[in-house]
Amino acid sequence: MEEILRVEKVVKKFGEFVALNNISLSIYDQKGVTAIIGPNGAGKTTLINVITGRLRPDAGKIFFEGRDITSLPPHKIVQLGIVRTFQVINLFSELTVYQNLNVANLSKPRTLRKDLHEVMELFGLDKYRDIEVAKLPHGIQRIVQIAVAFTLSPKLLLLDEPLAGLNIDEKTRIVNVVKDLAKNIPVVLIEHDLHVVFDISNRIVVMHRGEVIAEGTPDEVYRNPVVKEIYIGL
Amino acid sequence: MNWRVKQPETVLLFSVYILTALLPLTSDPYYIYLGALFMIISLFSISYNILFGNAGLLSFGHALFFAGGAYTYALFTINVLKDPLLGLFVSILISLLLSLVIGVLTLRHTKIYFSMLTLAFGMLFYALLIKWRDITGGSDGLSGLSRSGILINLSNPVARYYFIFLVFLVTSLFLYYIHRSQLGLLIKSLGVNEDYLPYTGHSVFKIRMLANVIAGTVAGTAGSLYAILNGAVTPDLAYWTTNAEPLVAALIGGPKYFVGPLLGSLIYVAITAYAAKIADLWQFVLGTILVALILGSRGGLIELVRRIWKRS
Repeated sequence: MEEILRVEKVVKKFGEFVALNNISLSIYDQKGVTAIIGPNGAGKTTLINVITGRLRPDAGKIFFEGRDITSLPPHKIVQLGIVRTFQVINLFSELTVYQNLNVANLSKPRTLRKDLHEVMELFGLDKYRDIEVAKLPHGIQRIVQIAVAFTLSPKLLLLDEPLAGLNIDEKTRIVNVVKDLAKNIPVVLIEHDLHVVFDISNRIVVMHRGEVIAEGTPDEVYRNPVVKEIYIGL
Repeated sequence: MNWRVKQPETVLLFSVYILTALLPLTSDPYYIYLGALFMIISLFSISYNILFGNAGLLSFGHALFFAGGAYTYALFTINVLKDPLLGLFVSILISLLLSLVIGVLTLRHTKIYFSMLTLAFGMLFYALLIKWRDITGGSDGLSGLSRSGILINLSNPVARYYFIFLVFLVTSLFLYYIHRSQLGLLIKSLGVNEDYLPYTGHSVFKIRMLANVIAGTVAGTAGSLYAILNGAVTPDLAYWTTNAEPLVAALIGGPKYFVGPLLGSLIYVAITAYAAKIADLWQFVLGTILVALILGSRGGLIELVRRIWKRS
């Protein structure tokens, strides 16, 4: 299995608090979902922030397709193919759905741009085309976020709690969207809902206090006694 | 608020063109002067609003570009060559370079730091105009500027008016095109959510720079026209309070609309001209309108009219 992303001995501190404690982790270039789970404060979002250039690590390196991306600004990392979504919805709220997708599309060379009508159809957004994002229901906004990410043609997609704040119907819909996306590209998912995690993941990484304490298939992780002790069996 | 009121904006814009094109028929020199002033303040305000209303950048240094354009015109026509057309072209070129340089120095910073930095550069420029007396004429400025030359002759007020009209027409249409273009969308997205923009693959600095260069160059163009209209330039053009003109115009008309600052400029010029006749009341009148609008309708007059329209 070829590695697409390697996090190497990364440290990130906020004052005295150690959010990432010498963490090393690889994501492989295979289709499917890698879930990152762990209690609150385990460092999951910080890890994504460090990978995507939102935060600079205090130590350690990050490689994407063999290239050192540790000090690159966020937009360069996106251009290389690592695309993320945010836990709290982050979109151009005063712009329409089409405009949001178009902004993403315009960051790519002309020949690589997507047909946005196809994108909207794919995500069932065609009927919201000219509606301001701020006026859409929360669940639809979550889909727009993922559609924007998809428009950017990611080689690796990082989803930070895409189900947060959704009702059951909306969750089911997003889970299906994520499953579809994962048929074609590697997806990293941060999620608290363990039913969802064990349902859609090929691989699970368990974080605790800024470190990886276990990783493997859902079965392996489920049977891991350490995980049971500090996380599942809380 | 949304960005999609396009057709009414086009209608408004072209109404302004028709009215300004016909204004000299009044053959009243005062009206002709005010009309020309309106077009100049409009260009200044629309360019300012690219930064303020669209890109979300509150600049206190936009007067620098306006004064820069005006002084470039004055210095070029005094020291190099007497010609309004060439003077204008040189002003545009210098404004472009100036906005690139100031952009590099200020655009890495955001919010209040950006505002304060632009203010500092503006005041630096003001000090330069005051102190470098041999070249700039100090606090007296430069007067008796040439309006005729080898290429064109603008000594006649009506000819001058139509020259300004032509530049106003071409420049504002260019800005309207940008506003509705893909670049316009990116500049708006910057103002809507600057934090998110990098995660859609765009360099925030690059888009800010593009917005800044367009805004600075057009402000310089407006400044150059101002020098042509008045035949004189004074350092107060660069003083920081000059920045209030386009800001107030944008707020009155509606900063989210392309024609907002245009409408605001019309009201601004009308109030300063007419209320000044009654007494020194114009600042009071303007202040009252501004307070009422900011408390009652953040989207300016256009938003107010739209709301009333929808209700009826």
